Amino acid sequence: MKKKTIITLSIIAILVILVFAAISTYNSLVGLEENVGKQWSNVENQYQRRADLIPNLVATVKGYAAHESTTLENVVSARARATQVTVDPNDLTPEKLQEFQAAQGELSSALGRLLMITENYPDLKANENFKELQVQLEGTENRISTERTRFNEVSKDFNAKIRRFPTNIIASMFGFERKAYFEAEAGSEKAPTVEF
Amino acid sequence: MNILKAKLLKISLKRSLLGCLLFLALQAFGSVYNLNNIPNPKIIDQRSHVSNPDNIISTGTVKQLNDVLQSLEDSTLTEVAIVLVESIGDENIELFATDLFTKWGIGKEKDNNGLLILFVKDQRAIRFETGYGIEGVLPDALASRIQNQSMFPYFKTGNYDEGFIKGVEHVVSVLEEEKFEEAQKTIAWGVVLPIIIAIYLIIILISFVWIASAVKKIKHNDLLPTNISKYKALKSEKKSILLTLNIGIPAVAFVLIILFVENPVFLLFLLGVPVVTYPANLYSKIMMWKIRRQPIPCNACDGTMRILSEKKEDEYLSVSQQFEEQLHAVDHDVFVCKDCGNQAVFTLDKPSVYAECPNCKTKAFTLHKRTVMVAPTFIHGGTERVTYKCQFCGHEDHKNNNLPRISRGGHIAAGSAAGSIFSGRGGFGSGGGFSGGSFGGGMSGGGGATGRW
Repeated sequence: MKKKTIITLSIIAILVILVFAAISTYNSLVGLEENVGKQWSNVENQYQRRADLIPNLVATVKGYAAHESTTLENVVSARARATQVTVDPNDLTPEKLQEFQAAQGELSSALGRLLMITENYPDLKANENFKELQVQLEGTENRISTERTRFNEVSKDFNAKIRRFPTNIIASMFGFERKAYFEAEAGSEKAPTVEF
Repeated sequence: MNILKAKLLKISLKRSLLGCLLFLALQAFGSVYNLNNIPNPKIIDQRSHVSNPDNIISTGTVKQLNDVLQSLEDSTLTEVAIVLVESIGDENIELFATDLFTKWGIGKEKDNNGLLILFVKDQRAIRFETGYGIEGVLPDALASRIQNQSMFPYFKTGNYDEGFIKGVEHVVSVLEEEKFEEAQKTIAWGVVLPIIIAIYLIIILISFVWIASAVKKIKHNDLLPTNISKYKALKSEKKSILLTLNIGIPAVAFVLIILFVENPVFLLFLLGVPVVTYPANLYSKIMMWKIRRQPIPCNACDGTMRILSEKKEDEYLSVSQQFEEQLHAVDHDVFVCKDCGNQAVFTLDKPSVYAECPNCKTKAFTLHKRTVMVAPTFIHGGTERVTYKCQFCGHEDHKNNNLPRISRGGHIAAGSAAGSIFSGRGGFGSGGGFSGGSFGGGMSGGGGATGRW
């Protein structure tokens, strides 16, 4: 009788500990996943910030170099395509991220070409408005790379956590899935250089 | 107090000596810095903001900048760090600045209101790295304008001192426009709360198991012949178990929290321990009551004896016993056998002001009055007469007590002793102000502006 009660009670105690450990793990996973989502929206915000700068930049360049219309149109259309591709943070699959990255990469290279041709227009380069836009663009590119690096970090943290024992049991029970990373692509990992 | 001060002085001397040594070592190895060997100004002195290991600007300028930036921090909580180095090798200044910003955690953690000004002489470049919270008040374009207007004209002529004084002045005038507020540290309750509840549940379980085992042990203990003795044994056992749980667990937890947890809020959870042991306390009280009233075998026949209610028991009790119950000095339990009418009275002493009367043996003997026979003076002690009287039979007894001499100023000595104990506690105050600190833990998002001259 006595032994039996002790055994039952210790089983209850172990179950209680297990249940609450599971709740605690689940909550920390939710927190980590939220971090990934939050960091993803930081990444998207910075890309959006760059997209917001473009109309102003294009308008300024147009005033000095109207006959470079193909390059300008390329930038505008690349921007339009890039802003259409958004990824829901709950659905961060490698394919979706790839698509996003490709569209933004296209915009980056179109922007790079635009900035290259501005080298030929000294008047444009001396324009105060253009100078400030350049500073902002440079700052935005830098922010994008910072946020992308941080996104990769939190994403990796999350992925490592859901693969580790015993968290992986909870993770598979509640359907936590791996998050994608940004991969360094040839040409796109380096921000277009903006020279003064 | 003086010893404490001297000790602190020694520590700070040691620190600055160490700083000097580090500085000399760096000089000897040439001045290419990486993230790990740039001296953090806040570690050497909490009120310092400028790291100038290569002496690019003069000590006078450094002091001036420190003063300006400290008063900015005092008024707005915004943290600004300035780093001036000869070289960071081939490192990209933007990445380097972002990493250094994150490593030092410039700005408060809640607001990310930090600014890092990184000057790299051999790249002829300066970068303003703005924390997330500063981006609004100091956008990149403005940062770039400050560099172009207030700093580069001086840098071009090699007058870095003036460039920094003018530039920082400009920066401060911008940053002064936004004030930040002190933050409270947040706790991840979603993770912490289940653990705390689990601990509470385990304490409940332990208290029940412990009390139940004590009940079992006492119930079947033949060394305790009567219900009353079992009741008493359980009562004292219960007391010691609950005392161990209610004092022992919080005491251990208190030490652990103080040692390992920064946030004193968790100390509040210690108050929950007596609450969660209360169900076990209640359970043991019920068991005590049951044990006291459990039927006992009759010593005259084979039947069992059962307890009588408080009303029915009176006819089995003597007048003096009834009187004792009225005084709440004693509880009498009367057991009667249904089969043979055999009866037994068990007595439980209750804590009261009454003692047993030497005349009638009733527990109703108590202090009646005190009379001072000889009043005490400053020179001689006095005598008082104490009278005890039995409330039941009226028997009286007298005793003479000596009264102590009246003394002067006796309390002062005791008071000062207590005072010194309490004032002694002051020594363990938080030494945060003296020990080297750090920046507040802010983050930048890679924002800011880089300029070259």
